[in-house]
Amino acid sequence: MTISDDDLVLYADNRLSDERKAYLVEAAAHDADLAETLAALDASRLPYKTAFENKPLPPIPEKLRVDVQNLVKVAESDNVTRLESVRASSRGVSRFRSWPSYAAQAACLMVCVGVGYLVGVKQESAPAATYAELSSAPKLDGDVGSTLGESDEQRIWVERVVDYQTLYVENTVENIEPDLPAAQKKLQALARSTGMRTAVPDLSESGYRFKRAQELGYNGSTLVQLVYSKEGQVPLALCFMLAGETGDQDVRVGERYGLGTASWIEGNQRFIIVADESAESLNSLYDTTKSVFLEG
Amino acid sequence: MNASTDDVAASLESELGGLWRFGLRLTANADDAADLVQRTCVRALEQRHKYAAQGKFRSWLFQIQHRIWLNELRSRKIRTHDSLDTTYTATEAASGHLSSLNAAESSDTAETQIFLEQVFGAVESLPEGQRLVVELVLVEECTYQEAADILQIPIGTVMSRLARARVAIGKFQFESEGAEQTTKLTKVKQVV
Repeated sequence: MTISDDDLVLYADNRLSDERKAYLVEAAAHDADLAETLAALDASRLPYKTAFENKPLPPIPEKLRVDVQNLVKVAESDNVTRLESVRASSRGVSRFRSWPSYAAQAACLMVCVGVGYLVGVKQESAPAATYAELSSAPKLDGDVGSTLGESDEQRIWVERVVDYQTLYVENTVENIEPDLPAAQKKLQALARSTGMRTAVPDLSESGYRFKRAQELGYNGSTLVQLVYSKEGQVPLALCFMLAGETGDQDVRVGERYGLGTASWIEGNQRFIIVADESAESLNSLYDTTKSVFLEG
Repeated sequence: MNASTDDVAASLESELGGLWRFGLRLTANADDAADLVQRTCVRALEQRHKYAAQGKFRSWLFQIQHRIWLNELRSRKIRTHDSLDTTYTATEAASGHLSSLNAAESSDTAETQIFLEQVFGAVESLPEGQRLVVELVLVEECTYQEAADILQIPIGTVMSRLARARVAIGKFQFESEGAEQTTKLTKVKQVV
């Protein structure tokens, strides 16, 4: 009869059967190493829970408590009015709605609408935009533009996009079969209805392969998110949306939660690239993207 | 605590303390822990339809939290080996310990405090994989299977890590007692 890890753990927890315990003790009488092991297990019966409860921990930050309360409030009320689509998406039922419903969706404060060709694609690990955005609900509930300066608005926009993007992991989009022509067609339709310039830049020189396009909502406006994948990397996101009557802003390269960002405003349109890349690579991605949009 | 699918949102707030503690243990950093807890709540709300009501709600949350943290580590391409003591709790622990000793209401209180510090230190000295298993099973009182689910490892690995951890802690206790004994003997010599 051999002695397993299960035997040792159950012995330490005083949950080993009498018969099995007797066998261990008997075996230890002839095995000094086993005897030492059992003695150590005897000595390991300690008040672990009390020791940890006794240890001072920082209190839960008030901001975290408030943020979670806000999240819960939204979650509890999202079946009532404006976010019916969110509830459906959070259940994985209709996260990717059909493209023709765009006009109705765009009226929602925040929506998560997949480009038509993605309907039916299994997206278990794909994050829904809504709760990620609402995790900062006080900042996003409609008054950002009226109370904050443009630079603050751009900064907050960058932060929210990155916050959402942190929910992506390597395998979030791995099962998606891209359909670039279909995506381009839908984006052109979106461009016609919104006046937004759209394009799907080829980022293959940087090793990225286009995976999908999504229409997300931000502060009542449409935000387009293009996602690209690269072997061994978290997905790259290129997002853009209309910026209103603002001037151009040169590219700004930064970092948030370990993700690199390149953000800029051009022609009344905000852009951001979020990727796990160096500043140099981000600048290269920016150059490629900018040239494509200028040509478009 | 159990929670039905519809109760997930309502139950989340009551589990905030547990999420905070586990977040601190995983990250060893209060800022990271706060971000991690918030992202865990977001993910839990997004995936509440997946929650099986017969399961332990806290374990389900811990599983989400641990998965997010692993992904975070991968994205950062770093591994933290900091223990709680070497980061945010060092000063607090020291001051807490000193205040306890200074109060000196009884020597028993101080002895108990030191003993509990030793237990905490023994767990903290374990390799990360063993430490998390010990904390889940012996501190958070998860079952072996729940710990395996949370950490996404086979239950055999949980048992193996627990066995090695318990032996290491037991030996750590021997050494502590030995050191204490040596200290006492030294004091006797000085008196003589």
